[in-house]
Amino acid sequence: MDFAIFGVVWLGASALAEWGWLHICRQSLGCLISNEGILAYHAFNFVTIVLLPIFLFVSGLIVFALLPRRAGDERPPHPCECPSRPTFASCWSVGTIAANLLLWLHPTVFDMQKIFAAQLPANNRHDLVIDVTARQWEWIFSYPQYHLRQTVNAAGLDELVIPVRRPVDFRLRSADPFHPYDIEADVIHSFWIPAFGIKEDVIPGETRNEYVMATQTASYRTNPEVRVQCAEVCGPGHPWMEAPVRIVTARQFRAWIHRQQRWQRSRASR
Amino acid sequence: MAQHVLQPSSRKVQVMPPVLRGFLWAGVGFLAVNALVATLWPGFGHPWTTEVSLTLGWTAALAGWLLGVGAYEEVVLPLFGIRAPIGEATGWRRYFGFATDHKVVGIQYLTCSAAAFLLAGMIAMAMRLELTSPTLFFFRGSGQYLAAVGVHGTIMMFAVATVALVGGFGNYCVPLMIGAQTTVFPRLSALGLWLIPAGVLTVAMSPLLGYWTTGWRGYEPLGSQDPGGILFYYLGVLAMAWSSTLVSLNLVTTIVFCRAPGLTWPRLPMYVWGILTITLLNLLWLPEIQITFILELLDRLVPLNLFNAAGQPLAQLELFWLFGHPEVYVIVVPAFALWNEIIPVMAQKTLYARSWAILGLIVVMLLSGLVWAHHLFTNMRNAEMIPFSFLTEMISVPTGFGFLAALGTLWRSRYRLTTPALLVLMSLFNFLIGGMSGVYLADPPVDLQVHNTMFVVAHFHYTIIGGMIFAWIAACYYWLPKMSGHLYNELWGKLLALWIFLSFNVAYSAMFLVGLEGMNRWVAAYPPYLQSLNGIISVAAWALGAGFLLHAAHIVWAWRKGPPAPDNPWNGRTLEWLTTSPPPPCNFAAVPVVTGNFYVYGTDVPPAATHWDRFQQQRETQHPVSGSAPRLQAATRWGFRLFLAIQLIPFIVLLALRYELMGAYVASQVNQRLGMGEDFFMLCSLVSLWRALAALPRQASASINRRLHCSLGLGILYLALLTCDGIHRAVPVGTPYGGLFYTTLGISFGYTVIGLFVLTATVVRIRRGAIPGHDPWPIQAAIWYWLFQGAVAMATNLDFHWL
Repeated sequence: MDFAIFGVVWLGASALAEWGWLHICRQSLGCLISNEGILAYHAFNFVTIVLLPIFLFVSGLIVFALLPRRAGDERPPHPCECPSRPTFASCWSVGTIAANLLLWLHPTVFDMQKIFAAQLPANNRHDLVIDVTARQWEWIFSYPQYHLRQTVNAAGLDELVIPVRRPVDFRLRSADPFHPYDIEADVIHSFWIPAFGIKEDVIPGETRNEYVMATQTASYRTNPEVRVQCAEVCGPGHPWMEAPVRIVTARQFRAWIHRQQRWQRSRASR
Repeated sequence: MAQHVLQPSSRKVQVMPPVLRGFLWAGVGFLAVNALVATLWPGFGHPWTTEVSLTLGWTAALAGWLLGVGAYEEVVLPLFGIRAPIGEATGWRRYFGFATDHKVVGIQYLTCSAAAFLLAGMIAMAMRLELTSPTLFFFRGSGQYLAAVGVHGTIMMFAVATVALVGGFGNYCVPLMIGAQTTVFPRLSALGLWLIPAGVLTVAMSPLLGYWTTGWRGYEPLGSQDPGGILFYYLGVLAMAWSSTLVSLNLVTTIVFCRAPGLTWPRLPMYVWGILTITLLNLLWLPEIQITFILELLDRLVPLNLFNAAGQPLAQLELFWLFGHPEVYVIVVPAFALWNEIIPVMAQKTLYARSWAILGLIVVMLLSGLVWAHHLFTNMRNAEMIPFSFLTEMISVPTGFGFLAALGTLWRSRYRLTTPALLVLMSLFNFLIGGMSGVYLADPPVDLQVHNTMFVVAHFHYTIIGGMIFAWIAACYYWLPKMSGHLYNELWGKLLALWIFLSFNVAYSAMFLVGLEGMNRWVAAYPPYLQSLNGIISVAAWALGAGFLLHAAHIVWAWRKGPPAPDNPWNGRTLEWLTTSPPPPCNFAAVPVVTGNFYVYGTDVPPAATHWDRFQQQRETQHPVSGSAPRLQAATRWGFRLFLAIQLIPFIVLLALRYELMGAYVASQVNQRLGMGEDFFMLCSLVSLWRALAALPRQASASINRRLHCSLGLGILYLALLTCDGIHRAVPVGTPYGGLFYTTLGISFGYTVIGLFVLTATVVRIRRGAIPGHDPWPIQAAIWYWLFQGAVAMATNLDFHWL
């Protein structure tokens, strides 16, 4: 009898929770606007859908233990009584192993395959290359294909502008070009645009690549998650080691490049 | 200031209270050595204190502190064969001195952990105050905030989370639960306890030397660039890690050798299983992190260039997390074990699937060293992510067995909803959320987004506060009647449990959300759109802090003024409930004999008895009984060998690091002649001592003494040559290869100095009239230690000079 009651309550609660997740909360991972971010978003939701019934099952059993026994049930339970002894333990182990295997195959392995494929050199021949230099405490962006050494906005702050739907190859280095004598004397940073759903640590002495493609236009002004943020503690300036990002159309991007090139020329002539 | 201590011969001796004397000696040691080093070796910045003088001064202070609190009388004098002029303190003074009773040590550890929890908790409250505003307003600078984060994390990890359930309840309960009368290494345990206050105070004082910013992980190369405070982080952690190592060595030997008759491995209580698994983890990984911290310390002082762009920054991250993830299981595995210790007692129902639960604890222990790299998904090659992701997800299967046993036992039980029972259910629930949020972190695509955000902070606070701290409080209420002989107030206990449960869940579930919305860690300032959620977290966190304080007040009240408790208030069946509350100094009036399973209910046959008529003859003939002299001797020898074995771990780490940094090698120009001389002297010393060992059974005092002197002299010659090797500097210092070369020689040097000290003590001992054949073990131990360190020294020497 207890089995039946618990089973019905659990199934009902699980159905309700899944419905609630799919219709109300599914944007929990935040607003993600890149190909990598969309993978993370689907993975996050899939994992949640699998975990919700498990969570309700275990916490339901805990709550069930708290309920006072029904008045009619006067028979004292046998001290050895358990949910039909070996069956429950076997089902439990098979169930947990199966759930873990499922979550490892999908999303983990399937998604990793897609990420690996997106990183193959053959698929990244025509990327926009952006050199990202992390120093304590500034992000410096340069666009070698357009001969731009350091892009800044009108206020003179470092600015990252990315054309929408064009694969970008971020080349990440941790170094300090302004250091008086040792440009390699920097620390670990982590390159993170919250809206892109991916981050990569930037290690002194290494150059790393991060391949990502923005799927819609956005700007830090309208969405604060569209920013470059250092995600690895790098000293007292760490909280402020951020830079605004704009994701623009191809046409706006060309205009912006021309403007940056003009500024760079005027700075050089001065 | 003076106190009276009863001497065995009942003559009163005036001594200063141990803690005061410890502070005094520590202060004197620090001032003397600091002044000496700063004078002899100036030019490192400040005229009065340099980083080198601080490090050496701190080492002297630690030695002074340990000697002052009682190691002088209880460890050093006996080593030289001198009987201490005073005995151990009695009454309440036991808790403020060198105590060899495991129950006193347990309570001392619990008190230290609680004090450290209060201190680090206050820092957390200040951090939450800062985070109510998106801009910096409370702390004086971001560096000060980050130093607070680091001190909070370090103290919570090394003095609370890995200590309260191991050094605290492990020391108090494990010997009781296995029916032992004492632990195998009581003096080691008493010594280890006093390393915790030393470590906590060191870390707490670190901001005096400058606001270090790395957080509790000390990532390089930031650590070597940080202000000087990080020095006290390295040193404090070294002290606290030594404390946990000594606790683990003592408990594991006690569990293996001192179980009551009839307490076979399958009958071992759940909590003892939990402690056994994590003490093994501690013994494996604590030496590893200690050598890592020594390397980081030297890297900073010399510098060695091991962990910056010239060397390999990732090597430090890897070494840290190799230890760091097993550390997580050192925290929660005792909590898993506690669930299944308390639930069957409160339900008065047979523990379901007990063997599965034990298997779960063991498999978690085995897997814990194989999942660590999930902390580094943002640093990995693609192909490495898949296996680590697989193992990380799979570790939830053995963890689930703990849940399986708990839930199977709860099913249709008449669960007595006492305060510890309620707190255990809360711990189960919180850890469920903590574990499930870990599933997201095991999936690299999601982890690459939420890694290093407040989502991760919420995740590990759910596992540590939600799982371990709740279980710790449950254990406090559960064993309070046993420890104090008093009961707590059930209504207040439950109300306060509910209080911390609600405030905890509000605070940390909101922290998950703020992480998902893009708030990163280690920030004193953040974009304004995150302010409202942070406000909720702060208010709930303060309520949580107040709840912990109220629990502490309630427990202190119950300890002193609570209604008297019977010996077995919960009708528990494990051995600690067979003795009086509180237990007498020797634990049991008579040695208990175990005849059945502690976790089977529904039978009137007790699982154990304190009389042992029919077992007596049968057992005594089979093997020596726990607590008997031969058994204790065997345990001492086994524990000593285990101690030597873990001393090899630093060398393994250094060797592994050499291969990892192979790319950064420079052509080495070691001085082979010096190396040959070193090996020659050490070999002669070993041969001489080996013959002393052989002469021991013949009780030939004169010949043993002669050989001891001979190897002592050869050892000093070895040290002299090693010093020449260091001064000669054939290998350049500032390169990774040179760094590892000199560090290895330095560690070997340290081991040799300890060996020489022990050998000298043995020589003095024999000269003072100790007859070698009469009690051979101390001399054998000294000789074995010398043989061990000599073999290690020769092996590393050969490796560096010729391979």
